[in-house]
Amino acid sequence: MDFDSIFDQHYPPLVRYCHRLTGDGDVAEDIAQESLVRLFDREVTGTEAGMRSWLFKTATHLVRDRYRVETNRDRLLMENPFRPSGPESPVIRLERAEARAHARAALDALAPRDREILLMRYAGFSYKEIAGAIDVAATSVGTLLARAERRFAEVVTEAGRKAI
Amino acid sequence: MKHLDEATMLAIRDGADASAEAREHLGGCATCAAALEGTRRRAESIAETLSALDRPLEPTAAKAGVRARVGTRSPRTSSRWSGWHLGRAAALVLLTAGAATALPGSPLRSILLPDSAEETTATEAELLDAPVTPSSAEPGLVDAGIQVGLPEGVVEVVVRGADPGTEVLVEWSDLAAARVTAPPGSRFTYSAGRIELDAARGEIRVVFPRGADQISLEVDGRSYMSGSPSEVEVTGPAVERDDGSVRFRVDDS
Ligand SMILES: [Zn+2]
Repeated sequence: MDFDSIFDQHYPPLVRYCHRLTGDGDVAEDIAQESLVRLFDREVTGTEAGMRSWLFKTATHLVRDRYRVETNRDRLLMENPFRPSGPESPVIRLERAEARAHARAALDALAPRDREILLMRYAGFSYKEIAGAIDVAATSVGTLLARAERRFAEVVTEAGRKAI
Repeated sequence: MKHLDEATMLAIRDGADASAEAREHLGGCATCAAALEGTRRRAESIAETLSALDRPLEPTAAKAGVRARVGTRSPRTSSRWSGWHLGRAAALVLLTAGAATALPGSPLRSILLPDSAEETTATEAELLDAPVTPSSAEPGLVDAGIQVGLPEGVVEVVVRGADPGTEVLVEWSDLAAARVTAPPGSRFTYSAGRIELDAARGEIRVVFPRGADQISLEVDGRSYMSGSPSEVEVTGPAVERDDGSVRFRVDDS
């Protein structure tokens, strides 16, 4: 596979995953780009699925190593949107901001490893792939995922109730 | 009868390994079948909630940036001013809601990029071809930004046209790049290790990499801060300062 097809295939889902993981769109793009640079620099080859796992694992580790959750730009922007103009109606914008806030609150309520597991699962990875990327036993993934899903759903429900 | 635990249920839902007995139990147990259905609904709802966090992506500039960086990494040198010889540094554009232009052929470029002009010119041609339209359906939440990588050390940020009262927030990051974001309509000019900004009205955000050897920030001809990240000298009108950031408010002087 050439540079373009690898990039086109992996960059968008990787950014999405990193964005969900960090809550910061810019950091997400940085980390996705850094992961891809490393993939090409180290000439990582293999199946498509193998490359995908490698990229997500690398990105997860970069987030763990480098990213401090408290400097969360999206959250700042959500709280202080300094240019609140645009084609959308204020109601839709508000609903969207609310949905984002709920999702963020639910993710923030999870332990970092549970968050990684949940987000990798919802990025379409199998339990085996998740185990390989997150350094947990494959047999534990189900248990950890169940806990993460329960907690996530609880926080979203709770937040929805408060909003009404 | 012992019902299935949730982890087993999820393993079945997600097509992971589950024992034959578990599958058999599920076939004959209405309680577990209903619980499994519940976990499916929960999964749909979680997927939908998570999608609220996603935003549209314009990967053209990112692709050019990654292409430019591949194979360019050299070991960091500790020499203080080695950053002036950014032999194979690359620049990349991140969010581009404003206009971004490089400085082809300027003296600055030839100082910063003494021995890789060809390589970098090709890259910048691609960068300039990248669309500069707002990349998000929510323009209110997206400002314009530019980022330059610095495989080795020096980064300079120059801001022009900041009205009195404009806030300039400087933060530190562990990433190996410097970044400036500003409101839509701002104009960026950049080369390796240097970002120039003609600012539109609104808050300006500067992120310097902690790993830089030397950083500097100049606003309308006045030095706001300079030095190494560990011993930075703040000379601008700072209104707030802590370990991770400095906030300036541009004054009349
Ligand atoms: Zn049962």
